[in-house]
Amino acid sequence: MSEREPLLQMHKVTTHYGPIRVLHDVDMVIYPGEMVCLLGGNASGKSTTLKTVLGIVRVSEGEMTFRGERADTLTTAQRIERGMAVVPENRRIFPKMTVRENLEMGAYLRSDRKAVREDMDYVFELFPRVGERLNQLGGTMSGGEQQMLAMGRALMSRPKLILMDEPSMGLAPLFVEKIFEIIKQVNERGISVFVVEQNANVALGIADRGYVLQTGEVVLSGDARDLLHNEAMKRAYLGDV
Amino acid sequence: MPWGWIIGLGLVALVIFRIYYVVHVLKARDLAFFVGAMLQSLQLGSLYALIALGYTMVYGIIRLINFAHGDVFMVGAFLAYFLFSRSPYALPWALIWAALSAWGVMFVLNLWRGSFRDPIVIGGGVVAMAGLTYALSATTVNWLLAMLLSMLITGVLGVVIDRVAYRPLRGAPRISLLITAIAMSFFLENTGLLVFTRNQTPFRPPTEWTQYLQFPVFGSTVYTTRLIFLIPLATALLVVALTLFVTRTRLGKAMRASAQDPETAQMMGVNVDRVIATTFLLGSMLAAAGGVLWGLNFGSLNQPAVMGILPGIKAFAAAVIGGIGSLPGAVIGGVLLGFLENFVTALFPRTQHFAGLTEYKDTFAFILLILVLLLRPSGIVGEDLSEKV
Amino acid sequence: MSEKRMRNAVLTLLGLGLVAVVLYLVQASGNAKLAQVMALFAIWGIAAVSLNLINGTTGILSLGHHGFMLVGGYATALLMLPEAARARISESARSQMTPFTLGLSVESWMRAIGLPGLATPGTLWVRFLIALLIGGLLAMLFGLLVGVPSLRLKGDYLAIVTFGFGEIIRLLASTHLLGPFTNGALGYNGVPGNFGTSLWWTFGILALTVFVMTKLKFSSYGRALQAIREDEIAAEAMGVNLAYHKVFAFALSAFFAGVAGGLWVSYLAAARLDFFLFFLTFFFLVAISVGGTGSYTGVLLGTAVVVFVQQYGDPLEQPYSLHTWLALVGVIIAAVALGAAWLRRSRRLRPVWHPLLFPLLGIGVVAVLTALVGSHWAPLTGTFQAFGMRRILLAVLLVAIMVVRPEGIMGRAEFSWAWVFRERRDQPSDEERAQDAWLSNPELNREASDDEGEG
Repeated sequence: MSEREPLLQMHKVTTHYGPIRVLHDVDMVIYPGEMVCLLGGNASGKSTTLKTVLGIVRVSEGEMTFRGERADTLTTAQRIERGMAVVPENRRIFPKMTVRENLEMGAYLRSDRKAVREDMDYVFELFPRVGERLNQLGGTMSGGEQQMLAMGRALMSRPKLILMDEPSMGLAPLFVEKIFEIIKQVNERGISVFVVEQNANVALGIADRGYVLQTGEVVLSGDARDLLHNEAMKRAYLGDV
Repeated sequence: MPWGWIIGLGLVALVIFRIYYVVHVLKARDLAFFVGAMLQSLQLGSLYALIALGYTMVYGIIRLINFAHGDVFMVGAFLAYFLFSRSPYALPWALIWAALSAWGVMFVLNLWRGSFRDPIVIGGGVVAMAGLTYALSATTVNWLLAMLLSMLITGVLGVVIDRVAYRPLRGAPRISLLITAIAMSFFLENTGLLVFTRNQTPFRPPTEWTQYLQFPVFGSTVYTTRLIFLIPLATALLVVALTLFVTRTRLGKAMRASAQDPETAQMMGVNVDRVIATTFLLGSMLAAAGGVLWGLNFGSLNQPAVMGILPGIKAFAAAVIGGIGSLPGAVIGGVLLGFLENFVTALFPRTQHFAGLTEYKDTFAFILLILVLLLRPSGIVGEDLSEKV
Repeated sequence: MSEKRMRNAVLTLLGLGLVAVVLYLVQASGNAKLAQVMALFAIWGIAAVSLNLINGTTGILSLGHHGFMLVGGYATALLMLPEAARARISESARSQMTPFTLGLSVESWMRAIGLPGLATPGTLWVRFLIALLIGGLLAMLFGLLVGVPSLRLKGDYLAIVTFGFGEIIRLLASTHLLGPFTNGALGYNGVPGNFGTSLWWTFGILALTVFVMTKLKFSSYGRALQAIREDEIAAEAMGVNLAYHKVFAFALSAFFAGVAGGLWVSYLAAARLDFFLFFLTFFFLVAISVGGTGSYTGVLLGTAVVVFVQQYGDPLEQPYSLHTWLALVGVIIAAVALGAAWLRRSRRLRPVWHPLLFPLLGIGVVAVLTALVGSHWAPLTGTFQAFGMRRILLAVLLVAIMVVRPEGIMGRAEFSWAWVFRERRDQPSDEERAQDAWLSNPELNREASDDEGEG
């Protein structure tokens, strides 16, 4: 990388859950416009990293900056105001609210009505099926549709950085491909994407860079292409293909 | 699901047969009596609905049975009583009442503006303070203004209770929260005894709405008051206002989102603590309105340690029966319970051979509650919020 | 180990003996108030300890305890009512009792089954014991009834249902259904009062209750109940029969509550519906929560606190001048502000001095100063009497405990002689070390201590 200003930077971040240390000395950086994936097995600390970036988990040691300012002392709402958005694990759309209301919740902190409507139109472009079911209750949609809705909801805050927690979980393989295609499309618009994924193959297929987490520590990092051909990676996560 | 309709229609048919039996066979009552009972049931049901809404909203969002809600209802009634019966007040007291009410005004404006430092909020508070100080020291407050002011002050009380007793226990085991709510309830009851009165209190503000009314029906006359218009109307207005707030406004949607998934709502930037405080504000305001209308309906208030207990528990039962967590459920449950208590006892009046059901009517709510909890915990509307294994 | 057991048993007996001596001294001293307070402590102690079986050990919030006491109390009262009182009731026009219910008395039964010796004034205590037992068994039946919903319901809902039970029992007690048994709103007067006020009876039964409960807590039943408290699903997966244990707990708890009710009506020498209102359960809740939910020692401690406040709290409810009240209120407000700041510091909430705390502290200080300076100021003359202050205090205490230390003062720790002698029961004792080859073999032991070092 070049002289670009990092969008998100984590420096020696350590987090605890009571006395248990979950993340240890994690260094990560995301540049504007990049797509970075975070890989690792179960209980490696992937979800916790995401929650730490969002502010749901507090940083015990180390620091984090977002868009040039110190972020680990901000509340979740403040971080969202400054341009973060999240597509949570298992989608977690609001089941008893309509599709439209779910999208509106994504834009909760915004007050520029006209721009919000424009963003909603863009979401309908990306996900025509969402646009067709505006008045349907979120809980009645299929897993794949919910994933699209969750992504649309995240886009509604016009974020600079979208955090995605295991988007492929529970989806049919065909859908997974589609979803990641759309993620790439969104990324090409200039929105940085930080994807936490178990499915290393698919994630590395479209990401720019990747980090590999194991028991709370970063053990590998680099360009996505390099990681795809990395021997250790192949054995551990990709299978001998 | 056809079962619900079958049972419902069956019950209606049974009721019709029973009325026929009582009027024409037993000749114990006339049809006008039943019309009157129906109107009474609607009134009582509306009152239960107003209280039930507060229970259902709070349970929906933090899964707490707010034991203290019935006592908040009591406080609302008594505050209104003191406002209309002792005004005009001497200046120090007028200032205190005005200050409390102005605080409530600021909370309500804060719902709209979002910050206590907003000029509209502060300005509204100052204007309210000045205006109310004048009104309370120079004039006798009428029952409607008393009700509005009581709603404002009681709303703030609800927020304070949450802030002081429930917020510190977020994330604590449910039993602790429930015990704290019980303690709050006990505290309010005994403080009410201390601060308000120890006796049963007459509640008769001068108003047209309590005037008697009679109209002919089916050959005889129904005797009632004009409250048959006021109470259901006022309830409907408040319910509509609440529903609009919850479905159309940003904060209302945040409330619904937080009730469904507080963590994700937080991830959208919602300040869940503020949403919870709003829930308590609105629920307590409705309870206060219910308290005032209750006083008008019955003409007196029971002493503070007793007044809120039974109505509170019954309203909670109504919320569960209708479907806890659901606003329409609370209204349906409340009205249903009102009919159960009033109308069913009317169906089985006291005769020579039968003592009547009146002395058992307070137990109906509990029995129905236990049955619903055991057989269909999701209630009539059917949103099951019980713990899923 | 058996040496320890012997020692503990002897110490316990000595302790009980000491308690007996104290009771004798109190009784002999003629201090009626003290004796009365202690008897109340014992009676409420029985009820609180039995409530703790459900609330503390099994982890189910039950709010209907006063209902069980009502059943047991009324049963005992009816069975023990002297002939004169029965005659009065049967003559009274407002009474709801029938000849059948009026005839329910242990005395008449003794005569009927041919034991006239047990119908004399000298054997009153035998009859009272029988009445107490029957009251307890009747309450136990109701306990079984209330235990049934506990199989389907959890947490808040079950608590409401138990509360509903307590209310239903009271509501039904004055209707035509149960009126013949309870004499409706009139109740009974003239229940023999020398048992409920007797230190020996009350403390004796209290000792029995505590013995049963602690034995249970440390038995396999108790462990099963605690497993249910911790994680019902896991307990069931390990073979704990939820239904049996829950219903059993309710039944046993209700039995002792019924007995406590019987002693309670004797203490008051009367039985009335007003004696069995929710405030009783509330007091027991305070006792359990303040003292320690998992600990019977704690419950007794909590009961002592509640009884003390109730019986010796009269000074709180005297009339005091307004400026004294102002000063008191000011001190309380300031203390709350300081306490909140301390709490925030100990919980590491930032900022410690929340902006709301400053006006609070300010109001408190101003109030105190005004009171000190302006004691002759016109608005501050006059007095105010705070009725119900004792109950308000207990409610505030409960909220405070829930916020600051929800597990209560003692948490789950029980009093034990081991604690007194500072013994660590989780470490092997010297005796055990000597007996254990693994621990006493230096070669093996060194390896063992190496492993321990890493863990």
